[in-house]
Amino acid sequence: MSGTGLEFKNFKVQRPSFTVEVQDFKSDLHEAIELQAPSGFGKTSVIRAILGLDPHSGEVKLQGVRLLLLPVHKRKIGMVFQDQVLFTHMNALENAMSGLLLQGRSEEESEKLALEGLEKFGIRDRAFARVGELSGGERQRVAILRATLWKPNLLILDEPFQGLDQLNRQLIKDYMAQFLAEHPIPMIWVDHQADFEGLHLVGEQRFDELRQNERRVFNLTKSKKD
Amino acid sequence: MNLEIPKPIRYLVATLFLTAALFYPFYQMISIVPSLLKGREFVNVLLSREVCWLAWITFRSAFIALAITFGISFSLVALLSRTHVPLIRAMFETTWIVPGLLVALVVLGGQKHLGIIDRYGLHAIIIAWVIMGVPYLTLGWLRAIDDVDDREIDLYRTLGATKFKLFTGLLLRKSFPMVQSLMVHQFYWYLVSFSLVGVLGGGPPNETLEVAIYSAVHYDKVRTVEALCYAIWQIFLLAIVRGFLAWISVRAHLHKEDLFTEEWNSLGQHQRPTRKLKVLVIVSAVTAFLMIVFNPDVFDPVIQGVVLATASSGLSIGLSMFLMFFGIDGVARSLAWISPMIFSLAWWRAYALEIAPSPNREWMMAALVVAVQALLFLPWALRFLGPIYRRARGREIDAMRTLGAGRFKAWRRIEWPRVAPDTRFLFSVIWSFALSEVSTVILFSKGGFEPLGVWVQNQLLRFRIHEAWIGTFLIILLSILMIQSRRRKV
Repeated sequence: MSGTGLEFKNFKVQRPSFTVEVQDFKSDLHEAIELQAPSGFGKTSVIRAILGLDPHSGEVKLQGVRLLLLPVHKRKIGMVFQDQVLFTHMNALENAMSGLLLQGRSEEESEKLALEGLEKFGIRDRAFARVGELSGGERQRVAILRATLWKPNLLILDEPFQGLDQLNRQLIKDYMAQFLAEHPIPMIWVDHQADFEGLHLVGEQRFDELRQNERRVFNLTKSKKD
Repeated sequence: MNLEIPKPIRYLVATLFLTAALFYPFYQMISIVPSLLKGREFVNVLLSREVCWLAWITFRSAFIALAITFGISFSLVALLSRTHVPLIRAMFETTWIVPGLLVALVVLGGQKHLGIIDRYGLHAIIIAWVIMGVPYLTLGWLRAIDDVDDREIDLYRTLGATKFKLFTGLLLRKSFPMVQSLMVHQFYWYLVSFSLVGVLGGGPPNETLEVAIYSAVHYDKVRTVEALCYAIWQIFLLAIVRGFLAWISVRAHLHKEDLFTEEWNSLGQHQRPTRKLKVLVIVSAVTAFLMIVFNPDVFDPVIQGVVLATASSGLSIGLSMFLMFFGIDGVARSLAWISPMIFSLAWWRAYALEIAPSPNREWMMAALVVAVQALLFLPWALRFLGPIYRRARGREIDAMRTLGAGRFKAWRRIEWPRVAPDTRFLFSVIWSFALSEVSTVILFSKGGFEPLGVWVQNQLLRFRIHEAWIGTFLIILLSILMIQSRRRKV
């Protein structure tokens, strides 16, 4: 499967104390892109700019559409933030449904899809648990469901395995593998513990296998302002 | 406080405090009930058309005011949420020190300007309540929205939420538990409002239960049974309000005691006195001085007001710290839900009537006024200080104790330096409230004692609007002086 996925040209994010530049490149439609940089380098700034939450200069296109022209809510980017951010006033099911509802799906359909997703993830019985009652792994599974169920055009995962045990990592990897096979979309994967010597994804074998020929590093250049 | 006060001592102190402040006065008040229960007279009065009508009018007026307050606040929040307009927020915060009597003057003046002949009545009271309530509710609501996690907002937007959906689907939903509790507090405040109703109602039938209780016992013909019936209805209404708050708190997993903290914390921000603030303080001081010089009538009320405010706010803060030191501050929070008038009446019955024949009556009565005011402000002081003190406690106290420090020394060296700026600031805020407080004084004194707040109310009741303006302006200037001079960088 091919086609233009994500395209960056002269993409630059300016902050009061520094500027982050992203190298020009085009990805395939179903390419996984690793965003590697050490802590404090500006990865979050780049992600926020792609999402439309912060301003940027230059161009970024998703499936040929210039994102700069679109407001945040029309960019169709599924995002999994660090630290398993969930809506604390909703239960697990409502969290998983929220993206579908905001995209205009009916309540019945959203609930059905969300329950199916929870079933796949093995947390169907936790559907009505409040956020505070969910474990870290359960939270992350709900966050991933929320980001993927509505079938966005781009998926950004910010350290999706941070703080998770092996079992939870495996569950998420299985789900992601199936999701990406069914819905080929570009994916940006942020890795805070990147090894600059290579393209390692230690311990992520199956995910790695899926993307082994389709993964590349997405380089950032940072310059400090005087 | 993590200072391991032995439980027997804590229980003893708590029991002594509760007995003196609450149980004995209320026992004295309730002890007169049997003598009043003659046949069906009491029940007849309690369920009489007049008494029930007044209870209904009180509830209805407070409810209407709350509904209007909610409507206006909702519109303001929709306009201002997630925007930071410091000027508007500063204006709203300023209402904390604006005395209710100023609002009464504004309402009366506004109605006169509009040519409204019948300026006194329930409508004037409701307008004044709304003027006082809107900034409070709006500010609290805006802060509740400010507290929504930015990450959740970003997430909601990336999922496809427009600005409207973001406001209705996330910000309103997340802030609503706090808004509900703010509204319950607002409703409580309307129910127990005294001076505004007294000044703007123009007397019966335009009054509420709180004022009716006072009217029934204070004038020449004391109507004890009526006062008791009004009090029972007032307690009933406040119990409903209290129950509703408890229900909300349990439902939303809110900590009741922390409901106000965020609002007050922003008041307690400590800034280095800037040049502008210094100029404000100097201008306020000079203006206040000149106003007193050119209006010598106000000199005595100012002195009495300042002395009373200093004594009652000092005692309130001192008691708060004492109760927190012993870890029994929870027992005093219950005072927040007793009507100030009923509480004052209980003290009046328990202590003031005993003091009345004493040759030192005036001084002892003044001391009682100070004590009652301090106790009325106590729950609010605890509500503000409690979370701050708890945050200030840490392992450092344990470390200090392992180094050989006693309980008091650990508190003095570790906790006090951290909480002192907030405590001093709270003193100044309570001081400004106490300066315009009137209900306790007019209940206990028979005209010999006329601090500034009471003086302004008396001028208003005599239609001496010019003098009332001078007194109100002085209250504001003195409050600015006290609060701004207490701001310090931590």
